[in-house]
Order: sequence, then structure tokens, then C-alpha cells
Amino acid sequence: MPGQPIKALLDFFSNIWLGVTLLVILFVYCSIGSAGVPTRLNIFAPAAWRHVRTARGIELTEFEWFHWWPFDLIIALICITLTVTTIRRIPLKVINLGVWMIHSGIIILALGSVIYFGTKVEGDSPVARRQVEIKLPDGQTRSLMVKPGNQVSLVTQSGRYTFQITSIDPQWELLSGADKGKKTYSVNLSVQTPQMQFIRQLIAGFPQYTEDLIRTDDPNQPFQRAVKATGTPLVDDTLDITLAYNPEKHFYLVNTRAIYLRTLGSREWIERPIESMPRFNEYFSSHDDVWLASNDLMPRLDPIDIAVPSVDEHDPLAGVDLHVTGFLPYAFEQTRRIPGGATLDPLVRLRIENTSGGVIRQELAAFDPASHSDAEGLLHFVWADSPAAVERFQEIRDPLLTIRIPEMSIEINHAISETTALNPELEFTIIEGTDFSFRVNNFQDGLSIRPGITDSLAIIEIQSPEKTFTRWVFADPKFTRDLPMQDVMGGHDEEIPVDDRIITTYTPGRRPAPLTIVAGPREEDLHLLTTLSPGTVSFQQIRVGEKIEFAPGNSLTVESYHARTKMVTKPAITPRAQRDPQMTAFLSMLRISLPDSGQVQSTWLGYHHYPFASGDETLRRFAYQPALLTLADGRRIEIMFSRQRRLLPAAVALDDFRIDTHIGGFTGQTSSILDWISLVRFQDKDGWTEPMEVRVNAPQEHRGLWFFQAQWDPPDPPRFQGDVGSNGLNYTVLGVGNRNGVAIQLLGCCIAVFGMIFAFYVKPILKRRHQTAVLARPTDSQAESELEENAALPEREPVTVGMEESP
Amino acid sequence: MIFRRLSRLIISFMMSAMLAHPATAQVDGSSTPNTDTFADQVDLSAFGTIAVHSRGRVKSFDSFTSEMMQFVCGTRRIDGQSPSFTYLDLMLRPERYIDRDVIFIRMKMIRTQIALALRTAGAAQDIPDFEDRMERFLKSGLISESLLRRDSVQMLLNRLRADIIRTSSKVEAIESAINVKNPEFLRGSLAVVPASAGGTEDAWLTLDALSGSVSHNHDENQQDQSLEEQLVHQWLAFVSSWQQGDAPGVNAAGAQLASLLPLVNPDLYPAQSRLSWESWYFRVKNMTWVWIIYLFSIIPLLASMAYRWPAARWIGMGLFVIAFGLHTFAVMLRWYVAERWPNSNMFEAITTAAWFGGCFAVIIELLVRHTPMRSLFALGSAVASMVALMATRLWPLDLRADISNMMPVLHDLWLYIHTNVIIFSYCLIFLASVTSGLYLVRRIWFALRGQNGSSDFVSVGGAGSLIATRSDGTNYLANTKTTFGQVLDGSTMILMELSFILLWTGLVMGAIWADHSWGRPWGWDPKEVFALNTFIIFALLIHVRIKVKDKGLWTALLAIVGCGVMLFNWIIINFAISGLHSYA
Repeated sequence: MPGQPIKALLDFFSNIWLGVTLLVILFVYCSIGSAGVPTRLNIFAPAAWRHVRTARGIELTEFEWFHWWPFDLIIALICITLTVTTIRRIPLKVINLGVWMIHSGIIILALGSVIYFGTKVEGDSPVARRQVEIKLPDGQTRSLMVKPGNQVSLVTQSGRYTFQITSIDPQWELLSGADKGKKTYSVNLSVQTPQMQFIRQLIAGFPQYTEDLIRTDDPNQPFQRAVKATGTPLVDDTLDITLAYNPEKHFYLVNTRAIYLRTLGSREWIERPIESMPRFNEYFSSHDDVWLASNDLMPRLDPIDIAVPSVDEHDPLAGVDLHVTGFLPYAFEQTRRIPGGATLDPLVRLRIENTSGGVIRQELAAFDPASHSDAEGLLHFVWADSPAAVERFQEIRDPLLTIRIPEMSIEINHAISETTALNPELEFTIIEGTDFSFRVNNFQDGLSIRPGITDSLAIIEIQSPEKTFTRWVFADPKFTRDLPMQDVMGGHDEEIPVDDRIITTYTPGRRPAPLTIVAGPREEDLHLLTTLSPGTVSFQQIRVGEKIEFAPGNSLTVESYHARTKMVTKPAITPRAQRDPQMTAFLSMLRISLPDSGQVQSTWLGYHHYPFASGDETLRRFAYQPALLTLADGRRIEIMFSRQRRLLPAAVALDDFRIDTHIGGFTGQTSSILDWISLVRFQDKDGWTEPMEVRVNAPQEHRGLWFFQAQWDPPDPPRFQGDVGSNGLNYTVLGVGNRNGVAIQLLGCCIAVFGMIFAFYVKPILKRRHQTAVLARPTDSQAESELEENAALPEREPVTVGMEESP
Repeated sequence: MIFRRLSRLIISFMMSAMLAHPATAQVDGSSTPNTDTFADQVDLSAFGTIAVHSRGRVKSFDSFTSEMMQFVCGTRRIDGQSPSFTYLDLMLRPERYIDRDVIFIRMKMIRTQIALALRTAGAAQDIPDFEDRMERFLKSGLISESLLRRDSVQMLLNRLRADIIRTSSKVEAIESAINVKNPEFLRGSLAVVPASAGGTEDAWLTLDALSGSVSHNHDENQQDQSLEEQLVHQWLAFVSSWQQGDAPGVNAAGAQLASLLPLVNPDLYPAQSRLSWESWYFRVKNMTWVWIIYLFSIIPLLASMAYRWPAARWIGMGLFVIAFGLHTFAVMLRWYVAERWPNSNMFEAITTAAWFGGCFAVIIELLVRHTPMRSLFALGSAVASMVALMATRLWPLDLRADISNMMPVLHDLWLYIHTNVIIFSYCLIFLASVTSGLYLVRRIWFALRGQNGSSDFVSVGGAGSLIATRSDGTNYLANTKTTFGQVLDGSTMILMELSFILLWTGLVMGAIWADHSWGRPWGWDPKEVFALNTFIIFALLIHVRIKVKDKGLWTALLAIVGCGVMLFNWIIINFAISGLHSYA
């Protein structure tokens, strides 16, 4: 019969056990997808849990795991079972209203979720606060994003103009005028014109208060307002400099990947989305492509080849497919020295064992200041280019302080053998025939003053007839300076003018490190120089692989030695133990291959959270390192690995950014912050919309998309020598997303809640009324006892939500 | 009778747990006994209630030091000193602590490795009583900064730092202990002076900063100036008295400072009563010792069920009411002190959830006072509260009692309701597991005696009706035929149904909040998924109950599985598998 299979199917779907089975499957699916599976008995240890979804071959994010087809199938089957069972097995009567509401609520929720997740777009958009727009007298224009230290130089016929953002105050308080007391964003721009140098202060929202600051000769007040000195606020009004919004047109989708290309010199990046690429495991075709993590198991070779075709007609390589041929979830580019090559650049790998069985491995490169000795300075690797140099390395000489009093033609040489660092009671040495005396506090050789510059210094205390002061005597006299005596609390020292009545020079001592490995003068020569016992130097030949006991129980073995090496840059895989799970994607790298005139060019690309147009436009804390490919035909293509982007319905600008704080203001800790507030404006045909306040928990909608407060720019001290620190608040990151179907989801949830309340609390009252009605009929003691006995006869009374088994 | 044996077993277990409870005994962390009477003579009762600005909150000095000293010595007390004394002593007499064992290392594996590293580096040769000291260290976890700074230990820590998953956070904790212990840091953190003419956005100053600035400000308001001068004078007296070990001087200057500081800016300074209560709350260890009273209520409550002694029941209920009263006081006090409802960290979530369970138990006990269910909910709530409060004592470093500000993202009405509803439902799930557990014990007893208990369950639809009074004034369960199994099963169903609705509602409210906070109602975060998983288990329970014959057994089993999933969510997901949710 034709109806038979349909009936069988309906019977199948109206079985509660099927529903129960599906719920169990859903439970298991959710559990292994979310927590993963434990691989150790101690389930409290984070390392015990392995995610199923991150396994090789699956590679799904949480979002993807819960939208994968098996999940959709389980939910669809649950919905079918719910529908069929409810309609076929539960009569639609008032008493069953609860279960009907619960089941239909869940189905409505599922339908709402199909709409919601089916159309979900989610990303984020970084919006910088302002850019400086510069118009030169000759009509040239240029804009410069406002971020600490940003600078630009422009050449005109009359000469060069240089502009640099020297400081930004995000909370500048207006001190005069009608707007006194208001806080706003102020930018100080250092301006160097062919004629003069000054600082122009630009105040966001108040162009009328723009003014210049000019240098003075007063060391206490190096700058003063131009209006006070010259009577006019601007010293050069031929320069038109204003602050303007820095609008953002795109938002970048979460958990997506894309390649961006452009011809060198052009500004716009052209996107190529990468669909379905691994996320959590290493994929590469040769161990030679990477630096392997030393302590981890050798990762297996698992090549991939994912074509990334062009989708944009402006693509500089339109029609040519790029290929992703490698992926590393945790890696960073690293340059290492390896044997081979033509350059003399000696390298040794050592193994040192101590009495207690501890083993230290060390790699030293003789010509590299960063790695020619160990951290403690106990071990040193040097190259001697001549037998004389070998001799010199064995020489021991105390550091020398030379003091000259020009007025009295006195010069003394003082070999430094004692310091106050070792002997705090050290007496001052009187310079005979003068009122000066001195003592040495400490000395330090090979001190790194700033990147690339090292020098040696002695710190001495000088007693002059008037006072006692500290002098830092450098080997290079131009660094020598005087400081007042440190106070007991170790307060900050202000430099004082160098007292030129007493001239000092410092000659660093020479003492080989306790263990010095000397290579040369012939490339195969390798010797160990030890100065472990005072005053004695031992010098012995080293054979590679041979253990040398330099002190009882302590030995050194040179495992390898190469005089000629070369530098190679490759991605270094982060050891598993050092992978921060929070940094997923940020540390990933992919290898891109490009067919080029019959050859294949390959390069590794590091991940960029946003494809910024240039280094100047890169927000603080984000990377900008595009790779450059030179094709056989001479074209030069820039390439970057980032995320997919979408156009916003309208460009968004950041008018203002504020933080609300708890009592005591912002202390540098997040816990002192109450709220972050971005005041945003959208571009429309008439200009900019009225400002809208986007704060945490209070998003704003504009043309179908919702904007959330996602990240901020906290204050950030200088990160390296020469870096300009930031007071923060120069940009915001807005979360951007749609929310289609949320109302339907909510409706379903609410119906289900009412259904539950009805089933659990209203239905029993209805039933009890029914029972009372039965009892109220002709007094019948038998009926009462029947009802009481029902308690012990469960089969005769449906339980809880009231789904009765069909007979 | 099984319950008699069971109660004996539970009583003996709990007694032994109490005796062995590490948090009840103060470990003396010092390597030398305290012979310094200065510590005994110093009276910090007034100074302990001065306001300190820390992490965006103004708290009492005692509350502040209790939080800060946990970073240094964990829950250990140095020489039995109060955290406030230790803070000031570390700050003002740091030289006494350079070689004292005051830094707490929590992970036993790291303690062992440090001891081994010191031993292999030959530290035994220059450290007197090395072996004894290491033995004490392995036991108490306290070690000195000077030992930690030795090369051999530093090399070990550098190695451990490289393992981000397992040990780097532990090494960071050791480093932060050393940093916090630094007197400069302690001085710099003591922001006790509100901006004299400022508002809520102005930074609070340390007394040291005030000392540095006061001499330069001669053109300030005369009255402020003299107050500031007095403050500086008293502070310098306090510092020098402390450094000289002059307790009366310290007490006098401390009391003066406590009375002068509020005058700097009375508008900004918190009410003295709040500060005093906050100090008191931390001095009495956040009242988490109430777990013992809960324990003492459980014993007679169990006995009353086993022996059907009315007296035991009254004693048990009386103790429960006392414990709940104190628990309520602790929650309300924390609310008053924190100036927000206490549910924003794990400590608060756990203690408040247990308190919700207590409220529920009190209300429902009034409803069921004439039924055989009476005192069951009180028992369940007492167990839940005891476990919760005991957990905060057992793992004080995971469940930190500090009062801090809520994250900005948590300032939301929906979130408030969501978290409270969810933790309430979790507590009910725990209560249901207590009644289910008792039911299973009963069934095991039946099985051992060869009896069949498969029909031992309630059979009404909608367990809520079990407690509803009938028109004749009697109750459904008030029947001589009602078995204890039915009573237990009925209680489980009452709890399960309510928690089912609350959990679902809580999830929906969470989604409403997440939708306008993160931009998505559901993020498939492990926390969310396991809350959903808990709900799935209860949906399974409801449907399995319809189909199976042995309803009581399956209900009890699945209620316990549901509780297991809930606890998994609360413990494993929180501490082993990170998620977006900080608690609950």
C-alpha cells in the first residue's frame, strides 16, 4: 500500500525513544565539540583536554562545529520528531497546552536560528580618531593619521617640510574662552619648514583654537605660545593644517582568511578570499621549509594545495591562481645561522655539564654582539685573525682610570682594583696637590647604551672643594656626564654640567671571560682559554665532540664548529608548550605559491588582523609587514595575509572616545573602568550623521548593521628605545554584525517558558480540579479510595508534562 | 535501617574532614618563632578602617591588605600576624623579610623542583638547617625571596616559564609575589588620600606622594594646608615609630591618621560604618566558617529522618535557621560593603547561589510543613551551603573573597537577572541531587535485601501539586501509605521542574544580554554549551520518566548526572577550559 511507508515513517518519528536517542546524541555532540575529550585521568589539568573539532581533518571553530552538517541534521531530526510526536500523540486540549507550547516554542526557536545563523555576518572595524590634513603653500596636500610619532616629509621648490606628531593628549582641557573646562583631543605637530621650526597645536572640534608654540632660550620653559611672543597665534599662516575624521569603509569578518594583493606603489589592497583552510594544525611539505621546535615530536609532513583564485577585476594578478601550500598555526619568522656559505662568520654549538648533572646547550656566533657570549658573561666566543690576536686574548689588564687636572698640569693613572660596590667603606683617594679626591663606585664594560652602540664606563664619586658628585666616565668621552649624588631614597637624578676642572677618561680592562673559545687564525683552529683560577690562564686545543673538563666535575664539549656560515630566514614553529591558546590566528603563517613564467615562487606570510594601507596607517599594537614578490616580468607585487572584508553600509568616523571610570579615575587597570564610549558618525549624502554613542552593552544600529564597543586603545609606554609612548584613546574597534531572526528566536523561547509553567504548575491544578469534581459527585467512598490508590498505580496516570503513550 | 548506618557514616566522615581541614588550622609560616612583642602591641583597629583606593574601588585597609597579602603568602599567616600588620611590616621593615620564608608557592610540583634545584646547587652548604627548612617549605609552600633569587632557582623558573599551558602562570605568580613584596610597590599602592578639591575622577594619592608635594604648596588654602601638614607629620611619625618598633607611637599616629584622612575630602570619603563593616567582614574571614553550623544542622536532620525523632528534627531545623540567618547576614553585609549585589566573581557566585537555595528551602519548608517532605529541603540546602562555603575555605586562592569592581560588560540589568536565575537553578539542581542521592541509597538498600523498589515513586502529573493543600486541608502525600521513596522522588521532581524552568529562562536572559553586548545571542562558548547540556539532561529525564517503568530510579540517576554536568560546567570548564564567562 502506498500509505504504508509514510505511516511507518510517521510511526518512526513519533517514538519518544527516538527523541531520547537524539537528545543523547546532541548531548555527546555538544560535549565533545565544546570541552573536547579528556586524554588524561586528571581532568582538572587544562592539558588533559583535547578538542575534537581542532583535530587534523576537521579543523573547525566553535561556530563552525555547531553549524556543521551533522549538527544541523541532529537538530532537524529533533524538530521533525517533536512535530510529528506532538501532532500525532498529544491531543490539542487545554490540559496539553503546556507541552504543545514547549514543543512549538522550540521549533520556532530552531526556525529563528536558521534565519539568524544562516544570514549571520560578524566582524569588526578599526576606526582611528583623526588625521592631520596638510596643505602646503604650493598646493600640495597630504594627510597623516594621528598616532604617536607618525611623521611625513614633503619636498617643495622652496625646500623640505617635515611634520611629526610629537604628542597627543586625549583629555586636553580647554583653559580659556567660552569653552573653558571642556575636554577634547589635542594633537601637537612638530613642523619643520625650510625657514623655521615650531609646534602647531590642533584641537579636535575647535579649529578656532589652533595655535603655534615656538622655541625660547629659557631652559625652564623651552616653548611658549606664539601669540605671546609675536601677537599672532600662527607663526606661519601659509600652512593650512587641520584635523579631519579618519573614516573606515570596511569591516573585517571574524575567523576568515584572505590574501590581499597590490602592485607596489598603489594604495588599495585587492582581496582574494580563502575558503576553507586549516586552522589548528601544521601543514607543510618539507621539514626544510621551517625551523622545527626542538623539543616537540617531528611534525608529520602533510602538504596542502588550496587554490586562491582572483575575484576582483582590479586584481594585479587577475586570472592567475595563487596556491596556499603551507600553514602554520603558531610560528614566527626567524633568522638563524647555519653552516655553509662563503662568509667568515664563526659559529659553535656547545654543551656544558656541571657537577650535579645539569646540562646547558649554547650556540655562540663570534661576530654577533647579541650572541657572542652567554647571558652571564661567563662564556665568550671570539675570532682571532692573527697569532698576535690570539696572544692578545690571553692578556690580563686591570681597567684604568686616567684623571687630569688641566689647571695644575696633573695627570694620574689609577688602575681600578677596588670599588665601593665590593667595599662600601672604600676611602676617597686624594689627588695630590689638589682639593679633589675620588673613589670608584663600579665599572661596567661592554654596556649596551642604545641599539648598536656599546661602551664601557666607570662610575666614580668626585669630591671637589664645593661638593661631592657622581661622574659616569665612558670610554668614549662624549658620553661622560656628571650627576648629583644619589639621595638615600634613590630618587631621579638630574644631569648637571660636567665639571671641566677635572678631566677623566676610562680605559676598559682586559680579562678574558672565565671560558673563552678562540677560533682562528686558521679556520680550523679552535682553542679553549680558561681563567678560572686567579691570575692564571690556560690555553688548550679543542677537538669537536671531545669533552674537556675545565673544572672538577664540569665539562665543556664543542658539538659543532663552523667558520663559514650563512643567515637563513624561515618560519620557526612555536613549541607546543609555549602556545598561548588565546593567540590563535594572530601567530599563524601561511605559505603562498605563485606560478610565474614556468617557475613557482613561494613565500611565507604572517597573519595581519587588518590589511592596513601603509605603516603610517597601522594602528598601535597591530602588525604591518607585507611581503614583496618580484615577478619574472619585473612587476613587483605586495602581498599580505589577513581576513576577509565587507563594505560597511556607510563609512564610519570616530568623533570622540571616552572612558567612564570608577572613583579615583583611570589607574591603568581595567578594573578602574566603568565603560568605554565611542561617539561615531556615519557618512551620508549630506555629510555626517549626528553622533551616536556606542558603549558596552549599548550598541547602535545603522542601516541594518549593529555596531558594538569591542576594543579600545589603552595607554602604552614606549616599547623599545626610540619608540614614542602613547597616551591611548587614538582609536576604537567596533564590533559589527547583523541580528536577523533574533525576535523569532526570542518568541520561541518565551512560548516555551510559558509552556513549561503551564505544564508543571497549571496542568496539575486543572487535574486536581477534575479529581475534586469527580469526588463531588454522589458521595462515593469507593471513588475516593480509587483516587488515593492511583498514587500507587502509576501506569494509570500520566506523569509530568502529560505525554501519554498511545495504546 | 540504612539511614541509621548512613547517618553514622556521614557523621564520622564529616568529623574527620573537620579535623583534617587545612584551612581551620593556621600554619605558622615562619622559620623562627615570633618573639617580637611589637606585633602584639600594635593596635591597627583604627588604621585598619582607613579607606584605600585600589583597582578602581575604595576599600578598607584590612580588606585591601587581605587581598594584597594573598599574592605574597597565599592564605598563610606570617608569625600569626594579621595581613594588615604583615603589609606594613613588609613595607616599613623590609630588611626583616629578605631571608624569611614568606613567599607562598602553591603548586607542590614546583616546590619539589625548587628544593631539588637548591639541593643540587649545593645550597645545603651555606644555608643552616637546610634540610629542615626544605621540609617546612615542601609542607607549607613558604620560601624566602633570597632563595628564589638564587641562580639555580632562577634557571629552573626560566625553564618553567616557557611552558605556557602548564607552568608559566605559576612562575608569574611567584614573580608577582616578589614584586608585591617589594616595599616600593607596597608604598606606591597605598593610595589613601582623596584629591582634596577633586571629584570622583581624580586620582587618590599615597601619603608618600603627599609628603613629597606638601612642602612645595605654600600658596594653597590655609586650612587644607594645615590638614595636609598634619597628615604628613602623622605619617612620618607612623613610619618612624614602626621602624623603631615603638608600638605606642604607631598606635597614636595610626589613630590620628584614621581620624584625619576623612577630613581631606568628606564628600569622596566612604562612610566610616561601611569601612568598619568591611574590615570586620575580612577579619572574620568572610563568615565562611558558617559551614560548620550547616554541618551541625545536617547531622540531626539526617538523624531525624533515620530515627524519626521529632527532637532531632527541631534541633536540626533550629541550627539550619541559625546557619541560614548568618549566611544571609554575610550576603547582605557583602552587598552593603561592595555596594552591588554579590554575584560577580566565583566566590560570590557560589556563596550567593547557596544562599538562594537557602531562601528557597525556607519558603518551601513553610509550604510542606505538614507533609512528610518536611525538613528534606532544609537538609538539601544545608548540604549545598555547607559544600559551597567549605569550597571557599578549601580553595581560597581559586575562589578569592576579594571585593572588586565588576567588568564594564557586566553592568547590565539583563545580566544581573541572568546570572542570578542561572545560579539559583544550579543550586536547585544540587538540591535535587541530594534527594536523588538519598533515593538511590534507599534503592541500593532495597536491592541488597532483595526487595523490589521499582514502583517507589510518585505518580502525579506536575510535582508542584504534591505540596498543594487539598480542599479538605490534607495533603497529597499525607497518607499512611506514602513511602519515603515517594517522598524523595516527589521532592526531586519539585526541584527538577523548577530548576528546568529557571535554567531555560536564565539561558534565554543570558542570550538577550549577549545579543546586545557581544552582538550575538549565542556564541557556543563552552560555558553556554554546558548550560545547554545540563538542560538537555533534564529534558532527557522528563522524557525517559514518561517511558520507563522504574521511574524513581531513572529520575534519581539522571538528576545526579544533571548535577554532575552542572558541576563540570562550574569547575572543569571554569578552571581547565577557558571561556567567555568568568563564573556561574
